[in-house]
Amino acid sequence: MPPSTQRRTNTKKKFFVRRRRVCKFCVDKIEYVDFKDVKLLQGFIPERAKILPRRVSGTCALHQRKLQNAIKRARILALLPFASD
Amino acid sequence: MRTYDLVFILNTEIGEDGAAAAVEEYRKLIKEAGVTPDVDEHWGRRRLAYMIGRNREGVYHHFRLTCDSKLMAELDRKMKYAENLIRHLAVRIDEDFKRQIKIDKKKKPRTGPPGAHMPGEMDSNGTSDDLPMA
Repeated sequence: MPPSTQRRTNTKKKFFVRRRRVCKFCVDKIEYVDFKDVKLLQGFIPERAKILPRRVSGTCALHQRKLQNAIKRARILALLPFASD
Repeated sequence: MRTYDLVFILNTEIGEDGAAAAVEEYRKLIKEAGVTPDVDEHWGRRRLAYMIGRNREGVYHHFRLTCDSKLMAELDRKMKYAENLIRHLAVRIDEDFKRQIKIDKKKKPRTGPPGAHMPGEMDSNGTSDDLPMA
């Protein structure tokens, strides 16, 4: 076969397939995200004390909203920092 | 009747006796209104995540009350003007808690203050006590 009619192979990029993360709250059946439960909330704020986005933590939309509220309340009570260096 | 979580932070300068007296004052006010706290936890001295005023540490106390909004408004007003109280937060939780109560009833009974264990973590007795339910 002439080279121009040959099919190209190995031209597509191989995408890194990440294992789909599950919502921790759905798995543990936690409906009420307690703002006083610092150990639970600390898992969702890394070093800089920012709230982890859903795409990273794997939280579902409902629990992400509850988690956000809980973290913000905990910050007001100085159980969690607003920002850290 | 509504359920509230009330957490407040006292200044460490007043000492343990002063903190106990301040908490007793609020307890007395709650009793006078004919309410018994569902939860009355003293967390003690704890390091703050950031400085509040000139304080690096505070004495935490937690009440869970089932009462009407008038008592909560009165407590809020008193705490706002209290000298030794550096911060307080009252959150209404009865609506959020209804479903959790149903789920908890199906699970094993747990004891202990919140945050003592990670969810699902078991202690040496084989029980887990991480839920906020009293």
